[in-house]
Amino acid sequence: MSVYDNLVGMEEVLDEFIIETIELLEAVNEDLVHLESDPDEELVNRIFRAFHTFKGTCGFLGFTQAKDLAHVAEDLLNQLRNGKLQPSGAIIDNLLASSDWFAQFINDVKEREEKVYEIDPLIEKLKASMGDGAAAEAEAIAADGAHEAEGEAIATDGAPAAEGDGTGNGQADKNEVCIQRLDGFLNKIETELAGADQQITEENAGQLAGQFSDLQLLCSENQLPTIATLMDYTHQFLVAVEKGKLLPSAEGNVVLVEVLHWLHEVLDDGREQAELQDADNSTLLEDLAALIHGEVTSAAVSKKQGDGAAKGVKAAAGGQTIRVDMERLENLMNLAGELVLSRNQLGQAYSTLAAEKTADSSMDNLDQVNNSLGRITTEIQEAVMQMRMLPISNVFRKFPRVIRDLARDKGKQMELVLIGEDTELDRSVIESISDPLLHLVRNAADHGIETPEIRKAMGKPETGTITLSASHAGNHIIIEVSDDGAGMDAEKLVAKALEKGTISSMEAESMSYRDKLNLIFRPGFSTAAKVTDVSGRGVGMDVVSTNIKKLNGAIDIETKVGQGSKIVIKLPLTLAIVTGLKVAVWDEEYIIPFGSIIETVKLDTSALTKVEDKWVIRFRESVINTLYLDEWFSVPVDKDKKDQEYYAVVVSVAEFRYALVVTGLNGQEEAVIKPLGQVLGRIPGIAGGTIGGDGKITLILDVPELVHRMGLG
Amino acid sequence: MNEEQQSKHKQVVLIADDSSTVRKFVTFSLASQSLEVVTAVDGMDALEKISQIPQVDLIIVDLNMPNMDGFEFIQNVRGSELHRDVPIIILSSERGEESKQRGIAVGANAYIEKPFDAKNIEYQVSKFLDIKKKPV
Repeated sequence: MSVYDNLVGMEEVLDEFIIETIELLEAVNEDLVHLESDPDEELVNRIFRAFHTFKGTCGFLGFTQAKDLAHVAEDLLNQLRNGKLQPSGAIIDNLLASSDWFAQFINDVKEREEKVYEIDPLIEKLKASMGDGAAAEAEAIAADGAHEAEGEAIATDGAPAAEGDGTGNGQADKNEVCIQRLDGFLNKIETELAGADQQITEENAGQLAGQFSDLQLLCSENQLPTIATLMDYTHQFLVAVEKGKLLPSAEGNVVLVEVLHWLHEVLDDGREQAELQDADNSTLLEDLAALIHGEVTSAAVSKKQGDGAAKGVKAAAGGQTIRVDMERLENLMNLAGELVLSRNQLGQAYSTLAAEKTADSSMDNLDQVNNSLGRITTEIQEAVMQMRMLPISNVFRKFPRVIRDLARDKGKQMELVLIGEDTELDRSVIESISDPLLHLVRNAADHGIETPEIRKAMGKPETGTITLSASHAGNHIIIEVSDDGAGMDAEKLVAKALEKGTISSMEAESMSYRDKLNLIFRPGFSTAAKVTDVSGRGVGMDVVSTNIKKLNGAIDIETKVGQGSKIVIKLPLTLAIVTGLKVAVWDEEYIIPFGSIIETVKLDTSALTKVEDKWVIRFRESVINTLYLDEWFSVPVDKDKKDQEYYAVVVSVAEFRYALVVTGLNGQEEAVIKPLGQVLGRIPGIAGGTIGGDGKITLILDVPELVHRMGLG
Repeated sequence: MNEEQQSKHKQVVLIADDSSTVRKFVTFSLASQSLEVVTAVDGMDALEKISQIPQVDLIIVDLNMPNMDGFEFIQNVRGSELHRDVPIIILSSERGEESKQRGIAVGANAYIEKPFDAKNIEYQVSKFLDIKKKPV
């Protein structure tokens, strides 16, 4: 009997199980990667709870193998939790492998497939890690002889190496573990402080106080009572700041920096002498005591306490969520769009009426209602949009794991810096951007960052940095993937393209620097000698370009040989509402989405020339294809009209640029895109229409499709 | 449902478990009963929820939860004015006598071990609430 036979009627529970497991797995991946560089109790707890949950849910749903695996992983995590084991690279590897197994398993559950899995080797590995952490690490490295360099990387990157499983392996190991844990805390505190300009604030004091309390504990556990006392004083001082009993002050900041500095000295001595010695610093103790006792006046205290209470309430109330079917949201979104249109029409009708009728109280009333309806409509629209918005961390969170695996795999050292993870964008955009970004990040890690040896020889830090950042710019989001790696050589790209036959030598000659760099987006073009197995699905840069194009986005490359590359992607925040430029094409009007527009210029038509039947224009050192919108849309042209002015709207479609020729620029328009309906169907080059306040329909251009249809893409 | 039953207040069950699958499963197990089910994601959340509702007839609680675990939650409930007599069932995948003993010690009335099935949940609940039992 199939396991699914027992679950008939429980589809809802099964679906919840799938959603929950996927969500937990994402967090587990992230936490595991984090844990490797920063052994933190709360991280271990979270990972432990996830596997604990898997054990429970898989158990009662009848997925026995999954339950068994979760059980072993849970046991291992329990040992990490109570300090019997330290998270070595090998242990993290095995836990990540378990998480990968669960991802595969949950995929099968989604398809309602029942399989018998080969999980014994994985379970054995997990058990081996438990038996003896040091042996497991040694084994893993020995089995992976090709990557000896990587063994060193693990030992130096701050994560406790596997020696010392905490069961009394001798003083030296214990000492080492203690130093590393202390070092970990110091790093965390320093990062925290660096993020706050080295200032202690009411906001970060609590967090810092917690760290010092942990430090105190660690020191007393390791027979360092004098240091523990200093940690305790620092803790007390920070608690006082957090509670508002002390105001943040320059003196306080300085003392904290001195405490940290002194701790580093103690650690350095400990490393040198291979034994951590208890040490005394009475000056710092006195400074801290003076700070703690110099409390602020009572008025300030009560105010601060009031603030604190309010904050507590807010924190407790926040964070409640429910899941809503996407279809319902779409529906609400459409209705909100309709509401906007009706509001606009009402506004127009009111204006007409107001012009005809003399003002009286009923007109005043109407005016008021009209105004408040307008305000509420705008708010509804924003609220609905916001419901669809997700922080880009949903995509970014996958990448630390990717980078970690790649680094271990390729024997490289690299660090991923994420900036602007809270930047929000439309769910549909998030979904489509995920794969292209993944590809760009892999590319940066695989082809961009050099091996530590090469980097060292070039005088660069051995650890390469990949930075992924997101930010808002108007109605757009800018995502940048940059690395401090090898960079790209435009001429080499050309040579390569010639060799592969991607371009002809004539083409090569007429290419601008930009065009040359853009060669990487051509199908079948890869700068690496061979396609590495890292990507796993063989997505090329051309797919990145295609995806960005679909999203109405633009992509740009900046690179310097030997210094690194930066790929800049610009995307609309949402696909449902478009901010665009209204342009005139003789007597007709169209809207060109701002996302595509680079700039507009007044056009001297004599600058246009025809090359092979197509119009081109010279624009900032590049020759770009040009199209007359009146030709394409067969707009009646007033041939007799002299001195007609022309404008070129320069648009960007992924990495390519084009000029659209229009006869007038009529300002900005915010438009809710509506499909044209079944009668008209899809018209090439038109994304849809929008209804203006006057009830007139204006067509919105689909720029990527337009240039594609024109045979220019 | 007849009018008499309708006019009667529904009995309220609170389920506290950090796993949404378990919450859904327990809700599902009790779906055939005319009960009002309130869910909470951890002990802290559960305390807040019961402080907001006047009447709770039964609490089903997991042991291992973030922020506040089951033991601490039960202690809190038993120490409160309002809900100290509400029956509490522990639902846990912690094996072994130890956590069971500890759970009973802090004031739980029953202990269900995972893996559990819908019938068992219904049976345990029926010990404390006036519900119609399905024919076995």
